[in-house]
Amino acid sequence: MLGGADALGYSVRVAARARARPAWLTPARPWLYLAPALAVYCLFWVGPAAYSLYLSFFDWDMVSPQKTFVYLDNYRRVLADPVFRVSLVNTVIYVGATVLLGTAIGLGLALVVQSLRRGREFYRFVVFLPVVTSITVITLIWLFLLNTQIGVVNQVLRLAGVAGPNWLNDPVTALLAIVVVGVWKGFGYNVVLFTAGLEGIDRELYEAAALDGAGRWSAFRHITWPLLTPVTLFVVVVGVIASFQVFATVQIMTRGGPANATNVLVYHIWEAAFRFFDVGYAAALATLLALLVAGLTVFQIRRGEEHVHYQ
Amino acid sequence: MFTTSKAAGGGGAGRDRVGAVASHAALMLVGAAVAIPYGWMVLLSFKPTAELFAPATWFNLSNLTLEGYRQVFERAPFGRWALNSLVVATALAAGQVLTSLLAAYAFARFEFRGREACFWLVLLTMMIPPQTLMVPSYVIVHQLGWVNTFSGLVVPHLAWGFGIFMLRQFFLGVPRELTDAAALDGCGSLRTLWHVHVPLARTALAALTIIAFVTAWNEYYWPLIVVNSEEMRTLPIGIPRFTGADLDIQWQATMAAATMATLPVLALYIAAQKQFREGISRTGLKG
Repeated sequence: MLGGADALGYSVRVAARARARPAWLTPARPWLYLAPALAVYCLFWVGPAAYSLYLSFFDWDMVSPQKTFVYLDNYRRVLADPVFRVSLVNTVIYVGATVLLGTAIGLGLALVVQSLRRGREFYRFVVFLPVVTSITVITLIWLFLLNTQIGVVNQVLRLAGVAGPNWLNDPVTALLAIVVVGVWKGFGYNVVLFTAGLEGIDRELYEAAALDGAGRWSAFRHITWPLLTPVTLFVVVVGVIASFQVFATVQIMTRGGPANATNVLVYHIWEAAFRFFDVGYAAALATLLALLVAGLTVFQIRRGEEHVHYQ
Repeated sequence: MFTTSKAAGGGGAGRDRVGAVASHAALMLVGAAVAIPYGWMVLLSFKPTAELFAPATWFNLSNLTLEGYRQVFERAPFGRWALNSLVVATALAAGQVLTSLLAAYAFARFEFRGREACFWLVLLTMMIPPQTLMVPSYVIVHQLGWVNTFSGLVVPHLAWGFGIFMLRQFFLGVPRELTDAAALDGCGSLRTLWHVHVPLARTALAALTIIAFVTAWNEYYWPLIVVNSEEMRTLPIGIPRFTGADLDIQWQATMAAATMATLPVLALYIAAQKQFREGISRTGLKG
């Protein structure tokens, strides 16, 4: 890097500077590197989390200087609120359906892509496109595709002699539409993760299995599936966290309707806070949702680790 | 390659050929399911809405116009929104990668009291949906006077769990001898970071920068909370403004705006697709 004499002079200078460094600096050094991230986390993460918990015990409309302490009233209201129950059920259905479908489609397609001799890169490229596209754009496209009058889906159904449903105005199909958009946007992420996982499996294992006379299914069952379990666990855990956050699709496509059929937890929080200015209530909801997702994540990792195999 | 696929398939060459054709057919279907909606987005942006009511006129290309694109700029400060998105995404990509680089270095290189606790905090921020903090975050941003400002859009997101996590994994793999050699050469820890770790992590850093940029460019929920002026909108919360009334959606302008918002990301993705996907799968596998 540096010439001999230069390097010598340089290191003497550096050593001198190092000796001159104050003693407190050494233990403080890692904290100096952590400081920027930690400062942001404290101000915009730990702070808000604590503040949210605090606000959940108060009645407040975000504008008036007065906050009224109401003890556990907000939590009581949440648990008694039928809309909360509906949005919880909708969220659970959405999370279950998107994670299940996204994981199954992701794994299935990854297996097919991996079996190809040519064109792997091309398909991986295509399925990943929705992952990098804005959820706004995707939702608006599907808003058109599912439009009752001019939507392509219903017009194609009409050509086939079927009267298509009124997708976004029917309680069942509306939630289904939200799920379809979620799966369409996310499955490519899983394909990429699973193909990377498949590439990490030692080919010799398959050759050994073939020598033992194992068929395709048997090889999948005893080699591919067990060795993919770390990836599967990751895909499911990340999928659950991400799909609990569903919001933009609902906010743009259905506004939670018809009759709360697509109301989900994050949308319910947003409505409570920024449409009805019921801050304490929104904070109580948010606290419950945070606990739910964090608890579920820890539970999945704990339970998952029991079933995960490493090569 | 040949032996591998035979071993995995376990069938004859003919069966392999049939399998390959079936695989391509299935993937073509999936590819169409992905590509066709994008095709409609572009087609709609050039097409008079009147022609959408019957399949017979879907592909009539004689009346294509740029009317939608003209309306986008006429009815809203679309250029300003694009600029806002560019500024926010660039600032976030640069800022997030920088804070992640420093924090990851601290986690990987040093042993200190509280390291585990801090790393758990980082993991926790990745587990809990940020939307659960929307109310208090908004109140804090409001107190700071940052509503409708770039600071409000950027600063609260400057710490990035994903980036810290990924770079820490990467730095843990940097051989001890390299850092020791740098120390013997008289490099302080900052110089070691700059001369040893950063060059080694160049691909990971590039991938992270692109991922951060695209994520920020597409971000919907936070700008929606912290911006309520027409001027400060970013593209994702600007585009829905073109839809108009529920029953009479202005498809042409909406899709013109959607197309223009998608192009930069698409270009970036095509240019750097490998880093992009590898960056994502690398973190994925080590989670």
